[in-house]
Amino acid sequence: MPQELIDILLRTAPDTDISKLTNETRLKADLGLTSLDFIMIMFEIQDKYDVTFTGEEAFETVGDVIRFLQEKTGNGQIQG
Amino acid sequence: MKTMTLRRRNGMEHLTMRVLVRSLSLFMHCRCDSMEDLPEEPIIFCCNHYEMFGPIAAVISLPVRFKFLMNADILKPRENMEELLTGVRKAMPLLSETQIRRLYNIVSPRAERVFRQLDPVPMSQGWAGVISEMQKATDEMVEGNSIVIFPECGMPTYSIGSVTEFRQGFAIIGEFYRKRTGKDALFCPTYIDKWDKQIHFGELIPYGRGPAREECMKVSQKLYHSMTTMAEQYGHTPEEYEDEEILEEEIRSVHG
Repeated sequence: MPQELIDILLRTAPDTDISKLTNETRLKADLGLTSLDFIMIMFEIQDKYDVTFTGEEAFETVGDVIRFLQEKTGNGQIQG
Repeated sequence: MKTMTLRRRNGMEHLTMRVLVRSLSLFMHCRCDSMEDLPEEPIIFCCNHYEMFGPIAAVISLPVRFKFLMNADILKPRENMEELLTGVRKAMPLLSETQIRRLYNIVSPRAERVFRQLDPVPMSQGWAGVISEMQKATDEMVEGNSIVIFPECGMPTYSIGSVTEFRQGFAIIGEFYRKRTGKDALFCPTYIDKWDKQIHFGELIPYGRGPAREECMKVSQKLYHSMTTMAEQYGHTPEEYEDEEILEEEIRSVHG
């Protein structure tokens, strides 16, 4: 899991238990993110990785976010 | 940094809107209270919905060029018929199912044409869409268009003009606007008073310089506070409302 993404998640949901964070962790059901949390995460990701969203993306899990970043940045370093 | 000036409607737009305004204004035109206090730059009008009255009143009464942020489903009324019919049933409880469907089939293609004419920024219901939609809205502001949004997230008691809590995420537009222009976006609480056919503007709320999350929450809370204050001032109390049966039915449908 990339540290930058963990930092973004922690800023948004400070109570997140990092040791339990996996690709399968669900953003809403497991982390309890609200719509505002989610918007803030997207905003920070866009800022940090210089990617753009089309609005068609479906981010259910942490893995979905990582896959999106891998595709958009072409960066294999972003590992789940 | 780009310098912006408020864009006004051009000749053709003005003519089209005049025709629309003439036909609708007989019933729905509102006077704008203290419009002269608004700044000469694009702002974000945050309005109460008041059934379909709010959007229509905004179209025909706000004298600046603006773009709506509109639920994308409404722009595809045929594809989303079943979902939208739920709202129609709630709004017209006295009509039978056949009458509702017939009315929907007559009105929806025309409404779709009018909505598309307004060239709105479509808002999807998903979270991921908000970022790209707010960037589109920012593009419109940079072009000189104001934005009209209806941020209520609950079901208000329309008969007395109440307002429910506001969403928060839309205020992120303030971040994008600052990046593009270096300026603080201004949010304008806009209370549409159906009973007295007036649009009242609250004090402008600037998007501040704090962390994005706090600013979004602050803007949303301040807008809501201003709107409820205006609803109390210009709306009506349940005691004033004469048709108790309709009011009770509406309160039941809102609160279950």
